Formats: sequence, C-alpha cells, structure tokens
Amino acid sequence: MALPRLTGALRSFSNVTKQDNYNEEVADLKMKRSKLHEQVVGLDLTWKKIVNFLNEKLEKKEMQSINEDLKDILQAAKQIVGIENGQEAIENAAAFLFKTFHLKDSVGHSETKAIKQMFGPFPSSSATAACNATSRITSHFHEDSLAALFQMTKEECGDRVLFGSNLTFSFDMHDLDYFDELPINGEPQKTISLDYKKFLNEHFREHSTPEVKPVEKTNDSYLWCEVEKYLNATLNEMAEATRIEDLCCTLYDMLASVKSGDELQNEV
Amino acid sequence: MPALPLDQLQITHKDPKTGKLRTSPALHPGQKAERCFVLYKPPPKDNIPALVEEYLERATFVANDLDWLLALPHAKFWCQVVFDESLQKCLDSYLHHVPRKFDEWVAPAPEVAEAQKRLHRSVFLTFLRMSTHKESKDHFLSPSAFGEILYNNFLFDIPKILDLCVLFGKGNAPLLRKMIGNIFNQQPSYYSDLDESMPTILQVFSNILQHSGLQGDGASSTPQKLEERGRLTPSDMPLPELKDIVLYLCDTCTTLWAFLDIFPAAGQTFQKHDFCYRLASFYETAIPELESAIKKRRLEDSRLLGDLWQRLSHSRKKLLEIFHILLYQICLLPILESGCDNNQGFIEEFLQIFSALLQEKRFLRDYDALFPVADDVSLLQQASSVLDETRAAYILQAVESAWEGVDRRKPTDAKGPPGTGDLNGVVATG
Repeated sequence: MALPRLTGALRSFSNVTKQDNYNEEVADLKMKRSKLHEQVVGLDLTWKKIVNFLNEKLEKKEMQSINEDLKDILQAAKQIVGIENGQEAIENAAAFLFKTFHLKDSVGHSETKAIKQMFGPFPSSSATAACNATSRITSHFHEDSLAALFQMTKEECGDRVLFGSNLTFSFDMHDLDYFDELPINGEPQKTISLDYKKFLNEHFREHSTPEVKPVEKTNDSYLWCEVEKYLNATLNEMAEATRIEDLCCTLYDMLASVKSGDELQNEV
Repeated sequence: MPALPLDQLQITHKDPKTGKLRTSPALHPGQKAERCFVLYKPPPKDNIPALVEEYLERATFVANDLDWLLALPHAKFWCQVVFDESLQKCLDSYLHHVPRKFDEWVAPAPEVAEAQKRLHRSVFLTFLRMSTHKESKDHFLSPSAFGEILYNNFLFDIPKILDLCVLFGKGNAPLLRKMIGNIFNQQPSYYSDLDESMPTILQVFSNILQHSGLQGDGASSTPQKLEERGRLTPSDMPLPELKDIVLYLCDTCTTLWAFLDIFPAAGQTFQKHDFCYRLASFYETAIPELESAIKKRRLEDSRLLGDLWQRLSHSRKKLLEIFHILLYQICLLPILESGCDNNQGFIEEFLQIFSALLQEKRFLRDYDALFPVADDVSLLQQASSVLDETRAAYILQAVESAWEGVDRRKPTDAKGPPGTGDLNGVVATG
C-alpha cells in the first residue's frame, strides 16, 4: 500500500479529500454483506422453490419429519443473519444453507468460507445444525432428482453473456528490463572462490583418476580464470588445458600451503 | 425504426408512488441497481493465511460484482457506471493499488494469483466497455454525449489513464491504443487535464532530487526551504530511504514511458512544459549520483543493492526512451510526414531541444549510445535543403566531445531493442 507511485502523487494532488474515503474499508465490507443476503440468493434457488419441490416429491408422512428439519434450517439461518433483517432474508439464508450443504455430510473449510463470505462471522454450531438437517432431508432422495432441482435453477442464471467474453486478453505486464548485475570495479560480477584448499581438494584430487574428464572450464575459482587468461594471452597456441592444470596445481599448492612466504620463495 | 442513442432514449416505467406509467430518460439514477461495490486491497506481501483469506474475501466480492456488471445490458451498464459512486471508487482503488509486475517481491499463493488474474481481466474489460461508445448497431451513445459522460462523471482521469497503460499496455497494446485514443478524441478536455497535471509530474522529479540532497532545477527560483537544507546525499542516507527513492523513480519512469508508448500524441502537451530539457537535466543530476552511491554501498546489503541497481538501470533506459518518443513525436515524425515543405518549424524545434542540453554530457552520451544523434541529424539534412549546417555540426561536435575520455562502446547488436545490453558499457566512468 505504501509503495511510492507517480499516479499516487497525481491523485493526492488533485483530490485531497478523496484520500480519506479509503478509510471506509472496514465499513464497506459490512455494508456489502448486508446487501448480499438481499440480492444473491434471490437470483438462484429460493426457499419457496425448495419447499415446493419437497412437497411434490415426497409422501405426506415423510413430510412430517422433514418439516422439523426445515425448521432447524430456518432456525440456523436466523442465528446466522439475525432477526432484524426480516423473514425474507432468513428464508434466503436458509435456501443458501440448503444449497451449500445438499451434497455434503459435514461442515468443511470451503463451506465455512462460503457462509462467512456471505454473512460475515457466524456461530459454527448453526452451520453444523443446518448441515445435519439438510443431509437428513437429502437422504430421502436420489442424487439424480436433487440434480434436477439444481439444474432447473442453474438455467435461470446460466444464459447471461459477459461483455468481452470472447475477447483475447493477455496477462503480460510491463516488467523490469534486464540489465547486467551491479559491477565490481567495473567488471561484471562473477562468483569467485578464494578457498584454494577446498578447490584443490574438489577439483584436482578427483581428476587424477584415469577416467579424467576434460577440465571443466566453468569452474568458479578466481585464480583459475586469471591463469587461463594469462596463458591464453602469452602462449596463445600452445596453451592447453593440461598446462593450465599443471600451473594451477602448483599455484594452488603454494597458496594452500602452511609454509611461510620465505620458505616458499626458497623452494621456487 | 432506427435505434436511438442511449442518451436520447426514453423508457416508460411505473411510478412506484402513484402507480401511473411515466416516461423518463433511459440513463437515469432510478435505473441503477443497489449493488454496493467494495474497495480493492492488494494481496498481502507475505502469505500469512489469515491475511490471504481476508484478501480473497474482498477480491471475490469485487470479481463477482464485475462479472455481474459485464453481464448487464448496455443501458443498465451505463446507469450503473454513471450513477454508482461505489463502483467508480472500486475501479479506482484497483488501478491505484494493484501490484505492478515490476514491484512484486514475493510469489503469491496460487489461489491469490488466480484471483488476481480474474480481477485483472474483468477490470480491463470494464474499462474497455466504458471507453466504447458504440457497443453494437443498436446499443450506442452519441459521441458528444459520450465525451461529456466520461469527463463529467470522472470515469476516466489522468491518473487512471496512466495506470491503465502501465498495467495493460504490454499485453493488450492495440486495444488500449484504441481505447485511450478514443477517449482523448471524443473528449479533448483530457488534453487540458494532462496539461494541468504536468507541473505535478515535473514536481515529482524535483522532489526526487530534493530528497537526494541534489537541488532541483526549480530551486534557484524559489528560496530553499529550511527543512530541505542539508539533506543527506544517496551515499549517506539510510538505506530504506535510498530504496524508496529508487522505487519511486522506477515507478515514475515506467509509468510515463508506458503512457507515451500507448499514446504518443500526448507528446506535444509534455513539450509545452519544456519536458525534454527538464528530463535531460534531471538525468544529468540524479543518475550518476545514484549510481555511484549504489556501487559504493553494495556491501551493506548486496541483494537489495543489486536489485536497486537493476531498477536504476531500468529507469535510465526508460528516461532515454521517453526522450526519444517525445523527440520523434514532436520533430521527426512531422518532418517525415510533411515532405520537404513546411518542415522548417520542426527542424528548428529539434535544433533548439539539442542546443539547450549540450552541457548535459552524461545524458548526451547515454542517449547517443541508445539512439545515435547523427542518424537523426542526417534525417534533417535529407529533409531540408536549407538546414543550418553550422548548428547541426555544432550539435554533432558536442555529442562527440561528450564521449571524450570515455570508452565508447556503441551497440553493435542489430537485433532486439537498440542498446539493451550495452547500456552498462558506458557507465563505468562518471
């Protein structure tokens, strides 16, 4: 949020008052939820449709126990939305709960999230109650006939066409252009190692076995690069990998040696 | 019967109080649905589950509402757009706060990325629909009313247009060019808005200089404020401050460049404020100082400074490209188009722009490396038989002398954008 932006500066310059409006953030979610129960459920499956459907499909005596279950769902809905929103809101919420749980036998994370998205924080016991009541009801049905109920409601809102839905859209966004890394002393950065002892151990002891691979040129030792450069520059054609290796070995031995500078000088 | 434009269309509906039928304009507050859009908030910087959930809730609200909006019939859509203030705030909050690709630091969780994508597309389509005055044969607005509606209801403003360009310009350039072009065409007041925004844009550059302890070029005319005195330079300031300055510079350059890339016709308005010169002199003052500070301080936090270096290099290139777009738009393109007559004015403009910045040697050098000045001068020579050769030669000589003492590595790679890789070749000496 706090990232400095050109358009942020332009905005705050041209409308000082508008900036305060963004403090509404918490309030707007609350308002949104209170509007949601009025609008979303209305589009879709209504409580009336559910009750009608059940009455059509089931025997009278089955309906007696089911009416209890329906009451449970309404009660749960009442606890979730609150009474102050009126009977219609409660019925819409009940329909929403029925829809949410009709294929579930327990309250999972996604159901909790869906209810919370719709109504805000709610008592989880009501969700459990609604879920149990719903599965008692749906146990009277085949999945097919339930599917028919939802098919019917889906068609009502399924034929809307979104503007631009057939338009090709690219998610490609402007990024930083690529540049070389921050240079060291004007040279492009290389990862170099000055740990000659380790280098010597890793690279030369194993190369002394018969199945020697051609010496890897991609090593990361500073000294290696320098020696190679020097040899290439002075001995151009004669410079071969083996010679580099020889010279490097000697140099590494000397660098890794514990002897004092004077002693080494004498050896040379 | 031929279809009427929406702004003249009347509809009959029942008066809720009296129950009588009444006619009223189709574009009417009463036709707006109660929807209540919420504001957009960007995803959390680190993927803390609670924050992610909070983000997702908000994002889902916005995305669902936009889907609903895009599905509305033409007349209803426009009623909502014009009369629903919460919708406009929501769109504005998205454009303002959505992360740009270049300022992302942490990879978002997959569901966050998914939600972002959905929003990104819907927001673009909403703006596309708002910038289209003729949606179909039967559904359209008369151009003049369209221009009025856009402007008077703040459906578009300069910050939003800049945001749109930087957010969607890379992937959807052709469509965005049409959109922005259409808006400016139908409502020329946006040119004067842009004109009025220019001082603020220039102020951003001066602020960057002031915060870096490098005097802005406005500083000589206004007395220096007490609290600005003795600001720390980039070499001494706290690292977070340096970071802020570079991020701000990077966003500013990228946004301006993205806008001019989509809508170069804005060039004239920029140049009314002497933008080319201001840009070059800003470059000359700020870039070398920031560069050497970043180099010098690299060991304080090598990852951060490496990143700032990338951003600074990127900003430099964008500054040079902005300059080139302006120059091309103001002088070179008119010369190419006008043939041999009547191009004296444009040639004069070109010569003046360069004459004004001959002492900005570092700028000249970097610009010349990316867009060789000699090429442009030879274009002028071809276009006019009466070119003032002395002045042209003087400019070329100034460019030459800007290179003196510097290892000149011109871009040799003919492929790709000119000079992309070679900018770093000329920075070593400052």
